[in-house]
Amino acid sequence: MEATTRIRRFTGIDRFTHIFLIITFMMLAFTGAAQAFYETSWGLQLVWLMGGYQQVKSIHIITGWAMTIGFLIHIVITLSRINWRHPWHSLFGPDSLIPTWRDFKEFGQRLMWFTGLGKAPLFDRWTYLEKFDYWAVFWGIPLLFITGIMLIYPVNTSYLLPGWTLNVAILLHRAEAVLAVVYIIVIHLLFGHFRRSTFPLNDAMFSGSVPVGHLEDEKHNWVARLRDEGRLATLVVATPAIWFRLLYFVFAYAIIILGVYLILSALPYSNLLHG
Amino acid sequence: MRLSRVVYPLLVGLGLLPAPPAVFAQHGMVPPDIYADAAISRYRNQRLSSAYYDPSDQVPQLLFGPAPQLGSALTPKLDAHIGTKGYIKRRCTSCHETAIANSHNKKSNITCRQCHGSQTISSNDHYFSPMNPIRRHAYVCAKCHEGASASFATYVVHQNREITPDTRQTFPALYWSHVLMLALIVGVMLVFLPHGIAWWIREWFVKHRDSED
Repeated sequence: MEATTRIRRFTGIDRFTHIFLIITFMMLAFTGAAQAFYETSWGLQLVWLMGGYQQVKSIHIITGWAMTIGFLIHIVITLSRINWRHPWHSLFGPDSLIPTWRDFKEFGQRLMWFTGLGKAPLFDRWTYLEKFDYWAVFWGIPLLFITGIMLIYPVNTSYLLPGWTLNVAILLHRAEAVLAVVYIIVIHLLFGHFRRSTFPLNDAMFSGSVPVGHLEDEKHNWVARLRDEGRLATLVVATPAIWFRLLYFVFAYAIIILGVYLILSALPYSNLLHG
Repeated sequence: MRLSRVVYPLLVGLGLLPAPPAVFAQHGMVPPDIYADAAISRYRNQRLSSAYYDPSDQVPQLLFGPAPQLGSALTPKLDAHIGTKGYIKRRCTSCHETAIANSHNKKSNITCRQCHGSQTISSNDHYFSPMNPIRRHAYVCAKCHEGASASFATYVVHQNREITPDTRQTFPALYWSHVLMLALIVGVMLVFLPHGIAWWIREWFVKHRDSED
């Protein structure tokens, strides 16, 4: 098998879910920033661009609902992928995103590799960082959803909980959003795409496939396991068409530029993020 | 006394009985005038919720009279601004500088007076203050937030900064939520920022077999 042969890594549903998540995330980030920085000239520009404060709020709420519904559908799809005949292997095996002891070991190995004291870890299908990315979003969305619902319906919330929990809800919603935006843009986008092995674009999630030569370096144990099980050849897919590559290249760079713009613009006003 | 002096007014009164009241207002709305002090009559009206018109609503006493001094009939509890020099000519924010930084003002342009009321501004625990927790949800919050309950009114509009010793005492849930989230953000960044930089540098010195990109 040639090094440039591409192996399927993500299904169509995975890729669509990711694109959906990118779009809703960026819309929520921008409409959220417009509300958080409303009193600054930059915030007012964002508000103006999106048709006024009330409209910004409406877009934020509708997009939040869309993200939550997408999240619920994702959970249903994920549960349906579990092999219930062998639940243990399915949940804690190498194809699962659930963290195991091996992830901590590989994290340690990689720290050693950074300092030149050890060999690079031979990852299986998912690295510890990919698992961390996944679970950060997985717990972030319910937190943002619950606090968001509290803030959309403050009066009804106060029938169930004391009214001062709304102060806490605002804080949690904002802090979690700041964490998500900073993490996604700095760690996930910049370090994800601009390392030597990935520059100019880590296109696995857009094309759904990765050259096997690349995988030999990045996920050595996964390729070895697929080869042993004789499944490697069944996962071979065609190289994506040039127009498709161009499309996702432009899309990905638009998102990266928007994200960096968001962080750099918000940075001078970050003291306003206190209540 | 001549009989006509009694009979004629009685007859006139009887004739007027079926007539509609001279002022179209609610029944029994004129309260006993036990709070005659014009400075608090506003609160009396609110307490009875009668829509009762009182000229002192329109003409606050303080605008025309001398500023009340300590030791007068007014107390700081009744008038929180008692003895404030130049009170009439000052704006709320000239003393309450940080109070303006709240989302009600920033996002809905709500002014101080729209919640705290016009003259006289009493202490929150004064019985007749609209900001008294026994009624503020109905008299203040519910003006905009339809259905606001006493629970709703415990939302802190003038919230302190989260990480202060004062907040730790008065609003521990907010304080510790902030500590928790701050620790989470700083912790994640302290791990993954150096991790990313180290990764970036290390890869710079590695030759990849990947030949396509």
